Amino acid sequence: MTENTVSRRGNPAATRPAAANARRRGRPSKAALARLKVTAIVVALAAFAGSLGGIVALNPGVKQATSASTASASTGGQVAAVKIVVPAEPAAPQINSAPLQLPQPSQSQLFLPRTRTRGS
Amino acid sequence: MLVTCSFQCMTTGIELFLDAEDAGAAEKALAEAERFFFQVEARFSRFRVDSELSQLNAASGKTSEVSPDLAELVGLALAAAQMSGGIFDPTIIDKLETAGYDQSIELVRARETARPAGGAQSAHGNAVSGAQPISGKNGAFGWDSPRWAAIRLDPQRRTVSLPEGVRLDLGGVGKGWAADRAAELLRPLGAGLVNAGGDLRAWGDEPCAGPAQGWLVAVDDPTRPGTDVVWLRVQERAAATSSVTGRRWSGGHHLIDPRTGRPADTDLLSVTALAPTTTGAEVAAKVALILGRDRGLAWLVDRPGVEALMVGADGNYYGTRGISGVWL
Repeated sequence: MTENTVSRRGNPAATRPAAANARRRGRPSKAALARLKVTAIVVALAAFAGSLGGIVALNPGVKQATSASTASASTGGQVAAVKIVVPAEPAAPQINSAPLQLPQPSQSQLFLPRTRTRGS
Repeated sequence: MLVTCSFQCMTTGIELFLDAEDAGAAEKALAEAERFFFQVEARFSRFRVDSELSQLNAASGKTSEVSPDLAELVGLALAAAQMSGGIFDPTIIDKLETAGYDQSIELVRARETARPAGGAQSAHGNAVSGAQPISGKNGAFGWDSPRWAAIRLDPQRRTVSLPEGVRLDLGGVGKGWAADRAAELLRPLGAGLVNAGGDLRAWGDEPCAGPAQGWLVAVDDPTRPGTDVVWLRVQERAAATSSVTGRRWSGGHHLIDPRTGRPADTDLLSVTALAPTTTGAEVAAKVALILGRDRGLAWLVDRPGVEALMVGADGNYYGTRGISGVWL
């Protein structure tokens, strides 16, 4: 008997992992369902983070501390972490083509403009 | 003590402000700065046949040795053309002349007063008077191959080679450059501001202002000159405004769009830009104005240290995200 030989006694199917049995029966195992569920949550979180304009980093297998900007979920022994980093300042140039509401210059200011910029 | 000085030069009003301990030294420095402005006009005006610039233009097709100042100005103009993809074009004198800006603006207006212009009007009010759109697809924005790209400047030897028939107009950077240089001259004496016809450079804080408050500058309303759109704090930087309502005559205005060869048909009336240098502010304001609101804003956000306020032809105001941080 070599190391690669698997001893099978009784019904061979009974010694197979539940997942293999489930696959044979055409149904996903409980573990696979759990993984699917977690994946769906992770994808939903990522989509939400993307809608905020944040940077999403997926780091499966790396356990990270959960904080206000970090969500993690266990996937059957592994940990998938979704780190949502919302930058303090927009990294990409953004165009604001909406009209601005300008403050009205107040004549009650202590000092009035002595000079002006204008097209010449 | 705040010492001020104002005079007419470069066909516009120049204002100098210097807040110095020694009023006598301040007055002397302002007088020197005033002389400097007149020297710049004499040397680099395209309307003076004896100016160094006119001599350079007359020698197109050859290589000319130029002064360090002219070499610097040519370098600035070419850099502006490069960074704007040719929207800032210092070689469009012929288009300006075709549009009617063939003399100083006072003389152009005086001529029109004496003889009402009869140029054909385009849909947006600019006389076309023979100007034809430039064709071709070679430029960065899809127009004719830029002539400025063929100009050769050797900063070491201080030589400039203009292709045959190409002339330079330094009006787009000249006032800003002069304001920056005058500011260098005055800065050692105290806080101050140099305003060359709306293109200005400020350093230190104005009198009575708190620390790090800079100088308060009014942005002129292009539809009602003399009234304020808003006040901006200009602190250790420059501001400039470009407007289609400023140098205007019946033939149009002085901002030529190199893509058409005609006065720019833009959805903006004016753009006020803040930048680290007056030359930078001058170029940013002009380019954004020619590009129009959306393309102008898209171009501006890529310019580090530049903020802008736009007055739209639709009566609204637009601007970069940081502009609200400097208005009062």
